[in-house]
Amino acid sequence: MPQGETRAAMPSVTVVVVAHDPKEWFEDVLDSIVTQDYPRLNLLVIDHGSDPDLPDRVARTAPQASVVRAEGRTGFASAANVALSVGIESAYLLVCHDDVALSSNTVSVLVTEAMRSNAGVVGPKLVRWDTPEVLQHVGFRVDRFAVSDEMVEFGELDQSQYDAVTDVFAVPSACMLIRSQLFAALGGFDSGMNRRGEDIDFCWRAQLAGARVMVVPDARVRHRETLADRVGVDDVRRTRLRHQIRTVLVTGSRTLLPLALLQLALLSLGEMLIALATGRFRQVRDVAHAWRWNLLRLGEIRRRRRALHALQVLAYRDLRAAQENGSVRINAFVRGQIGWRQRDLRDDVPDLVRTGTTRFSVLVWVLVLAVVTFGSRSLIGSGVSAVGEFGPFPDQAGDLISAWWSGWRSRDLGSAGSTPTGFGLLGIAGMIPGVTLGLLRTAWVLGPVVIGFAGAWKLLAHSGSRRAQIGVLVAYAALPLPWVAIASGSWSGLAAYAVSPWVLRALLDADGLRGFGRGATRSWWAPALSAGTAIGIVGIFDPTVVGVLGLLAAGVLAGAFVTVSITGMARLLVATLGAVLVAATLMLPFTIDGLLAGEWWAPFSDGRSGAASQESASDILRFAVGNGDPSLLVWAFGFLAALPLLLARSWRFDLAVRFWFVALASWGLTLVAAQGLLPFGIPSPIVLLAPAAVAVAALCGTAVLAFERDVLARSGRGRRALLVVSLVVSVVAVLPGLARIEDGRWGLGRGGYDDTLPFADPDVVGSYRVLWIGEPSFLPAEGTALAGEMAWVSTLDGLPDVTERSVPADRGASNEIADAINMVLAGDGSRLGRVLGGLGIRYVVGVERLAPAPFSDPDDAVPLPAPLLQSLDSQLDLRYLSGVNSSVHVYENVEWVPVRAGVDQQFDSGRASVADLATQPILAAAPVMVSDGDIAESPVTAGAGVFVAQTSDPGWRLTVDSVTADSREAFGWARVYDTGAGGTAVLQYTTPIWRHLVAMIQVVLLVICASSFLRRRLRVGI
Amino acid sequence: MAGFRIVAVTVIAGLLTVGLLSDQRARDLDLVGVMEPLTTPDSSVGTWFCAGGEANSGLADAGSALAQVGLDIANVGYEPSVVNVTILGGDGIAIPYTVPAGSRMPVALGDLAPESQWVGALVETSSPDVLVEQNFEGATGTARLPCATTTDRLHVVGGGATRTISDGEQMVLVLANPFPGDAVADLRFDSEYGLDSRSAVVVPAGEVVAIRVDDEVTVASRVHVVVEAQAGRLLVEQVQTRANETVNGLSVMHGVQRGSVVSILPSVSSVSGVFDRIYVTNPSEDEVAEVDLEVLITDGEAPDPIELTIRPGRTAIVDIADEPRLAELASFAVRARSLSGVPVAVSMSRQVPTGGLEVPGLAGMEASDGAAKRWLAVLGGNKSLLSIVNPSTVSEVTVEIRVVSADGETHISPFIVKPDRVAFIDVSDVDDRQLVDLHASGPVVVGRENLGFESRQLLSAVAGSELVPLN
Repeated sequence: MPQGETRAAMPSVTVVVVAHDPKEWFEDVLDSIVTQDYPRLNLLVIDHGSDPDLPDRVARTAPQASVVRAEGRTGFASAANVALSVGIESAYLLVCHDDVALSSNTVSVLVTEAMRSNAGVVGPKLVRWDTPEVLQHVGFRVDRFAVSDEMVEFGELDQSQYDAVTDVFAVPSACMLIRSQLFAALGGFDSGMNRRGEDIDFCWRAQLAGARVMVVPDARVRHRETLADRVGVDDVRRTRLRHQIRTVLVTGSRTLLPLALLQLALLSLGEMLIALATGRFRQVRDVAHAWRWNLLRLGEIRRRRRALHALQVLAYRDLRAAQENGSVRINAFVRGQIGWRQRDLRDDVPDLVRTGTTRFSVLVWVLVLAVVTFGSRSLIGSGVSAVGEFGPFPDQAGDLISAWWSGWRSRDLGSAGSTPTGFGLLGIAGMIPGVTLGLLRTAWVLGPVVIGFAGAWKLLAHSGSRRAQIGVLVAYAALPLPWVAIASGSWSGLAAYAVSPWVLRALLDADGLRGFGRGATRSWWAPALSAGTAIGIVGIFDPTVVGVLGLLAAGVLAGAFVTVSITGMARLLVATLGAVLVAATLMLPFTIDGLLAGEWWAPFSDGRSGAASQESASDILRFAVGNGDPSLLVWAFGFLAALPLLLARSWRFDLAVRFWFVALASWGLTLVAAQGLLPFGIPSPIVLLAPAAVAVAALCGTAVLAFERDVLARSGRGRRALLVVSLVVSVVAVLPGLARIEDGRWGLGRGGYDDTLPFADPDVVGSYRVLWIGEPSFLPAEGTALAGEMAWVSTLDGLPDVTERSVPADRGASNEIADAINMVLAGDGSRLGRVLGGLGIRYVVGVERLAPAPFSDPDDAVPLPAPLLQSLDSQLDLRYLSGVNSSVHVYENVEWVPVRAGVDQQFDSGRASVADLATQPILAAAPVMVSDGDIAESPVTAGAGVFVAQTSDPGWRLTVDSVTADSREAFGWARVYDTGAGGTAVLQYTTPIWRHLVAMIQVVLLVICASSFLRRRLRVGI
Repeated sequence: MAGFRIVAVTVIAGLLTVGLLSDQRARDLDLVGVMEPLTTPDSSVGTWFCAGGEANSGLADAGSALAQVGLDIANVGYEPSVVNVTILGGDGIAIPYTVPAGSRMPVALGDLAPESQWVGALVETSSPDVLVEQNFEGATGTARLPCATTTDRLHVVGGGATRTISDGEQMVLVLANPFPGDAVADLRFDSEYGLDSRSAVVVPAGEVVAIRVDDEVTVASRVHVVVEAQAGRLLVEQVQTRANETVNGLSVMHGVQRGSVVSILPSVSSVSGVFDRIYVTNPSEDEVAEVDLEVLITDGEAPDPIELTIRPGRTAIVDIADEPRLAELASFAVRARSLSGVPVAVSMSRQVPTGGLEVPGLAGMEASDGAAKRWLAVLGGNKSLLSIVNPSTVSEVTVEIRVVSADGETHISPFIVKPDRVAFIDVSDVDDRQLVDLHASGPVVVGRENLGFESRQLLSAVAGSELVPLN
């Protein structure tokens, strides 16, 4: 075809560039336009900024271009509409931002497709300016609330996967070809929308007017998307929200509009509530503003509705079919995508490359959660057995709250101290209608697993690789640690599992590894706050978990040292110290008690003495600790973990080194503890191995990164073969995890000791204590180290509930029990019962398994030392209760004295300590005031005494007929009260006011920190 | 990059290797800090378990009794001591007694439980200077036995006989349960006729139960019994009588608790007319015991040990008189050492026929499993001999003996016992004092023999300080 005929056949196009003080790239933009291969092309630059040099700049690069000032116009839409008033006669307008660079054939490809498809609006494929291999936009999905969603993933590589010409609901205004007549008929963009949403609105109206909207990916345009930098205003959320509402109001069907508005209002309300809960008050303000802004413009909206109605040719029903079902915003929230674009705009995050699809991620999440749910079906359906640290909850939620609010701990021999605040919060949650304590307890056990998954998912989010995230998630779920923790009744292990990925991620943020995440530009306090908050939140349930922070920090620090990151080390140190301070602050009552008490380490040792245990190095490396022996296939993770060390480059290698050192720190400390080389006790191996688990999982994710970036980027058959081998090994590694779903309980026994032990009813016989001795993880509450692998704990009136689990910093008179046990161990005397009787102990229970037979495996038993049993057997006042259960040895003390006993005033005459009771026992004591709470009441006779076998504390007061009774110390640790003339006696504990104040301050701090933590996490969706 | 990679991989691999290599050594998991108490009576424990014997209920006099029991509570200290005696088989009420310094106090158990046929006692005191022994008197003779200070689930009784009609041999097991819970025991008998058993013998809390073995295993010349408590813990005594033309006597011994790897019989004799027999029982159910009986003598070169191989559950009997190489030694001690590490129960009996030069009678004792630096003993009869064994292979010990009575004390000149040697000391007629308080510079094992006109007693002394295991 001759050149002249070609020109005549092609419609004329005017490129309308709306310029707002463009930077140096603008010449490239203009150049890309003037070098188009399209013959009939005009260029109109609308100057919407304040740069006086703009006309000259345009003239230098595009001499034929026209420059028009958009005086008095605000926003892109309004400025672009200038094109309507300058008499453009071209058949098409190509509306462009001032930061797009067109490929040389963009206009011709767009026009050709517009003509061929008779489309009204056509958009190109937008890619990033600096990294054009990364997709930016190929059109929008839009729901009926005018909320848009990208067709592409953030950071998705352009691999021609979107290169088909497609009808879409909208294309971005960054570059859109519009039939001139349509543009004029619709009155251009909505001038009321100064920024954002004008393209959605325009395309919506264009479709109602009968025009097709299409994307033509063969036309490729680079886009800087840097408007926010130049306008200097961060109002993305506010403008987008208000324009969405405006679009719905303008374009909605008359009949369906009320329903749509109602739904939109509910969505807005939900958004505000969530924002309120997470402390994002600015977002609340923005949502409210969006509605107010539109309500103030109802007249204008009504006029636009009428104008649009005159043009409408497409039925709403047909338009609705082109829209997304449901809510794009909710879907995006579920996928964790909300906010990434804002972050990208604001924070100038380095280019992140993400691969994989959202759909695959969702599929993996669904699979993982389905496996967990199926594997937990019996726990969910039948409840969690009360074994180990999975202690029973009280009967009522109020009991959890009152236990927390009280400043008295009844365990051991009683002491002043606070019940962990977490249980108070659980009690508050239990007050919510519809929330049962059983449900809460199941969530309390299984929740940490899911929280751990979420943390694992976020761990490598900075890497930009969705596949790496999937790798971490699957590996973390497949590692045996969480299931070993459940089978072992180790809540502290689950808590460590939950918190480790979050803390590790915060520490990596603090490290500021160049190339990974936000780099070193961020401050140290944010990671410190994150890590401290995460640790503090688990710490308010179980303080033994806080050591995880130290392990993770030590590992990352060592990794930073090996990779010679001095700055990173300094930041890590500061952030770790900050995190410790934050965590200590969040655990305020506990921290204060710890500072005031002498044995501050006891609450962290989990009842361990530092003695050697049975776990070998091999067991530790494959997480075979506690109950349930993981398969040998777990070794497959070792292969996967080694890959990044050998294959990764750049920051991925540095990352792998850090993860390896985290794992080594965790394994190393566990091994050293197992070898009995520590002079003090530390938490159970399950807790200590949580950092190793997250490190191994992270190494699996880093292996994926290494394949993506470092291996498959180069050709070679060997590399492909390595990938195949790695995939096979991954499947092998995951199999043992799948095999554990069989019983629906992850190996946890179906019954606990609550139905097994023949304890007397304290309401009948009077309050008593039970002395438990056994391997620390088998005890119903955290114990005190005894010797070897043994620990002891004393509880009031049988099995304790979960509020009594943790060791208080103030141990009260618990050394009295320790002395008595040491007497047994030393083989001194045969009247232990009399001594224990003076401490209110009625039963001595030696526990050899986590759960009673037949709910536990005899192979998992840790037998009590034969000499200890022999010594107990040899006591003349301990009756062995035979036939109870093969998992326990139960002795009943035939010389026990009730915890609150009516006695003769001189009952302790000549007995300076309870040890003296071995030869001079208490001969007569009757139970009085039966209660395990802070208040007890019963009638007492005149001239008698009330012996209270618990740590003497000024907070306790006995009144007889409202008159405070005189009291004196008994045996050097307890109290005996004079009943005077007799009457109704009330024994009551008064919690110091400062403890209540501290508890309230703690709750406020928790809300603030948790809100801040959640805000940061939800804001960026990672 | 490559350099960093090599360094990092090397460091990581090195640390992993160090971890794995450091785990090769065995760990000491038994760190509870307690060891099983030794079963030799120990006065420092303060709690004495006396399994007892017959009360006087229904008996006209001791002449018709098998073994009528009484307590002999001695205080070798300088201060009076309070003891609480609780009768097993009685009302369970503790009766306090005060024992003057340097004195003995008899307690007739039968008088305290007039309704009971068999009685035992639980004696509690806080004084380590008090020792409690049982005196037995029956139709065939007298016997003496220190009360035990430990109980156990497993007891081994060796060297019994039940030829009641032909040889007047009666064997009775006395099972005492001083604890507040009932005990249930299984009995396994081993005789020349094979194995037999009796299950589920209930010994109620605070009671004494007697088992006539001749009802279970009749007309056997040798009977060994293993008593194993399936519930609770027990104290087991063997009462053995012989009343035939050659031997007439009564012996009462403790059942050997558990057994031990090394134990010592402090006084064994090969004198003509004295027939000593050593019983070594392997109570294991599945392990063969290789045992050496080492002979410890006063001086000179000791003969080679007697080597025994004992199958599980079986008893080896060694007749000293049948060992010609021991004939020249006269008196010596025997150390039983289980080379295979399987604990074995060792005891002995001594029969001296009437009509010979030696005092006739029947006696027996179990081996001691511990050594101590202080020993207490009550002397009796016309002649009393102490046998003092120094179990050390390297150190000699100096022994000092204080013989005490209410009106004073007499010191015997110190003497030295060389390593792996035994010394025999005649302490008869030391100013008519009868309480021995022996101190040694190193751990020793002490036995005693009391000789009367027509009876003899062979028994261990009572440790008065911490016992250490023999090795």
